[in-house]
Amino acid sequence: MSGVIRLGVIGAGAHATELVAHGAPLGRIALAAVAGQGTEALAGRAGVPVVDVDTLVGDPGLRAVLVDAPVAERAALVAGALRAGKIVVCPPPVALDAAALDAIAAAAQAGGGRLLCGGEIAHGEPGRRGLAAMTAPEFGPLRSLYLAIRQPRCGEGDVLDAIGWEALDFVLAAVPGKIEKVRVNAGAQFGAARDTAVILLRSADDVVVTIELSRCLPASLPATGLGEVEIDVMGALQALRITPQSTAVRVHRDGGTDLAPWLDAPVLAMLRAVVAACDGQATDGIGRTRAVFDLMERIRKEAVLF
Amino acid sequence: MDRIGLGLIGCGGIARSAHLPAMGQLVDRVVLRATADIDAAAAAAAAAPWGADHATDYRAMLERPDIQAVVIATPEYLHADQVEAAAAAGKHVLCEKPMARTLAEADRMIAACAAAGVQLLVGHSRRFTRRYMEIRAAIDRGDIGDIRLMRENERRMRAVPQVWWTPKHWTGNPQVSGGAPMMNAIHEADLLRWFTGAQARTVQAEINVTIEGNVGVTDFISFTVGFDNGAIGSAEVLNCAPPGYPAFHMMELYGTAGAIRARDHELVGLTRYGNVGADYPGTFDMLLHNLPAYARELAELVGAIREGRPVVMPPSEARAALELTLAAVRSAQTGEVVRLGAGA
Repeated sequence: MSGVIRLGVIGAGAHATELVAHGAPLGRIALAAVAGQGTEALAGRAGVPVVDVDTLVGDPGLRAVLVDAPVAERAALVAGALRAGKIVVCPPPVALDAAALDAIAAAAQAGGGRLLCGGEIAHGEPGRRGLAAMTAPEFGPLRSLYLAIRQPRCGEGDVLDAIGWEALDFVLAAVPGKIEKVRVNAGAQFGAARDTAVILLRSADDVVVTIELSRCLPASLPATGLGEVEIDVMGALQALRITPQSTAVRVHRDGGTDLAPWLDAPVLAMLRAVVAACDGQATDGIGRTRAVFDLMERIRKEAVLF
Repeated sequence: MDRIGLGLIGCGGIARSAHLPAMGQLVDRVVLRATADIDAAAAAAAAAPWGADHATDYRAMLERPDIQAVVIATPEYLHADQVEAAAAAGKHVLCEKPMARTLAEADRMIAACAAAGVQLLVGHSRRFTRRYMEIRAAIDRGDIGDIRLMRENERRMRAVPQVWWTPKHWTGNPQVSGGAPMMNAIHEADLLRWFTGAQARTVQAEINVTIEGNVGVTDFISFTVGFDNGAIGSAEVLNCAPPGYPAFHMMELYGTAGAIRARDHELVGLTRYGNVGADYPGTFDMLLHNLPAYARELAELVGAIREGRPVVMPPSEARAALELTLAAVRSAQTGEVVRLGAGA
């Protein structure tokens, strides 16, 4: 299918801001309107109107919606857009409790909408290329995955809430087998809240995943956005080292190293996924969102031990 | 001053790559007088440059009065008997890590050396490696305050063709090999303990078999440790990275007043990539595969013998690293959090 895909944006988060900053053209995507609190400046820069959320999702000509609102508001907004039959992309976490997740699934079923996971690491070019490389036959079966996200100490709240969702979204995109074992070592290492978690996972096909999340960076190690992300993936035949905050993904083979510079922001990859979904490509955002949610629940339960 | 007469028990890979070159660097302080290996050719090759005697049985060298110390570079399942025999003969001992297979064996070794009044230095070479010595000095100076989070990942490269971890080599024999936990991760266990200066209280781990041709020896471990001062440590140790993988050793420490990082890809000033992998001639001494560490290690034993003082790393420290490593393996096998010390 071809033709312009009209997109609405709800919220003024980092991805929405990046999208507007990128400007036109966005391929077949045309930004039609924005909604939500604090979006006036965004709309002004984009040259599109600010409308209320109900008007935006009720627009029959609008095919897709980017939800980039505060975490607490996302579930209701996503459910509304899905109920209106839209293709919805939303960064994790989409829902913070099981009831909200059930409501999202019911809305999708009732309205025919489809959900795309909006994980920044998975959609960013290094992560995306990495996911493609590790599923290629020449990579060999996956053996292990290490993922560290380190943020400055000035952040607040539980580290699992702050960056755990992103980590799990990428891990579950990369590891095909069911996660069978969950081990957690966590603590308030640098402040009052739980700011560090080391998580060991084991999949049914014996992939061992090590996740290290911490707000441990002193002021002398500045990091912006998601923070410092470091991913090392071992396959039976090849290995991958992915550092999304740098400029490249490196593929290490027995015969040498390939370096592919990354080119675009994660939100642009999200829009390509929207286009693919509009063209009929299958999506399983509901399933993956539920899997991420369930895994987070297990991690929280294990983390209580400490 | 007279040189210390040495015997070398075990003339395999670690002897050739580390201990024999270290002896060569300390030629003013040591002289190799005898070697022993069940492989007669290996024993002879090790002895030749020194004009030393060689044999397939180590016991004869223990009778010699001109040998004051032995370097034991055999697999860990042989250590306890060999250390006990050396101690009974009054020889000081530098024994490769891991110290032993079990805590009971370690206790036997410590008791034998104590009873004989001889030195026992277990070869935790990282404690003599410049990278880690500088980290420890920075911690001691209080540069980063109290340690709260540490990680040391060790991603060793697979060989082409693969020999280690397969039945072609003792490391791949499930009957005698302790696998990556004992071969590699005991270094991480020791470093985490050394840097935090605290006792491990909990450990959780997952182990795996990842290398083609491996018939069941653990070649991968990821573990995380809780210390009694609240610090958290972790390590992912594997042996399946392709040649030239740039993140071989990755040490990070985060303290209340700062951070220390020693990560291979940031330490190398010059990297050469060839058809068979990469090498790093630019900052060789900051990487681990360098001779000075083993020379410092041997020099420490020689210094302790001459000065009549204890070695800087008492064998109880090696035992503690062994205890933590064994606990990690037990955690992986049982799926439980293993508690150590007062929390056990």
